[in-house]
Amino acid sequence: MSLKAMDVDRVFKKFEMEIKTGNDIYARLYYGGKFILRTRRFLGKRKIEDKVRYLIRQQLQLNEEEFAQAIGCPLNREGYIQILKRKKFITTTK
Amino acid sequence: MEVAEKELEFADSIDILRKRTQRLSRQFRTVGSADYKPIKVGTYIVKWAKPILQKAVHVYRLKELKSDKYVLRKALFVQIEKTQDGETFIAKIPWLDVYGLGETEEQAVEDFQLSLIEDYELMKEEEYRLSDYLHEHLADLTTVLREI
Repeated sequence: MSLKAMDVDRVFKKFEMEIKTGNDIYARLYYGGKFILRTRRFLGKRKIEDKVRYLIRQQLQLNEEEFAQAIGCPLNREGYIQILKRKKFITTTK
Repeated sequence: MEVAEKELEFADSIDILRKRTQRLSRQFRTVGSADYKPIKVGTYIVKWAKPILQKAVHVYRLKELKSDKYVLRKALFVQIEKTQDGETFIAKIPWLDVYGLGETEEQAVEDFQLSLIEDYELMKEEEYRLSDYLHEHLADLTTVLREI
């Protein structure tokens, strides 16, 4: 299931990721003062093929179902943070 | 579930990917190519994936980075795959969370190098506030490259 670049941009925005544009578009997630994860997509508006979609999804630490929800809108930042907490990518205690 | 999706889900298993890389490293360790650019050291049929899907993976031996600031600690075996539409090449190492994209294999490997360096610089810059996951990623990157 390929994606449009703008769908991915919308996910980055919805998750309130910090966006930087250079050779590619870089998205970083910060939470509680910590740098949690990062991903990127290539510049331009061409569609994102399955294998590249897979790489972005992996870097966002989402499974296929969760990523589909992120694209399809039900999953917001709060939900995403909860998923990352459940998967131990965000820990509240050190 | 389509075969391609099954394959992607299957690839979620990091342990399997690590084993595959180790096997590739062993297989190509003795190949004497000196530069990633024009030399394809082999096409490897991934036998472990046979029950689901066999696929060809091109492997390049990346011996040095095109950088004045960084060098590789050891040669890397970079896998090259093509997307289904055939328009994009992906360069990656399965156990390292970095990838490069390009319209040709060479571009993908160049982008991979760039990503490797950018990621390393970003992790060093943000080291004081990295999550555990990114700390591990930085540790992985540190095993791969170092500053001159």
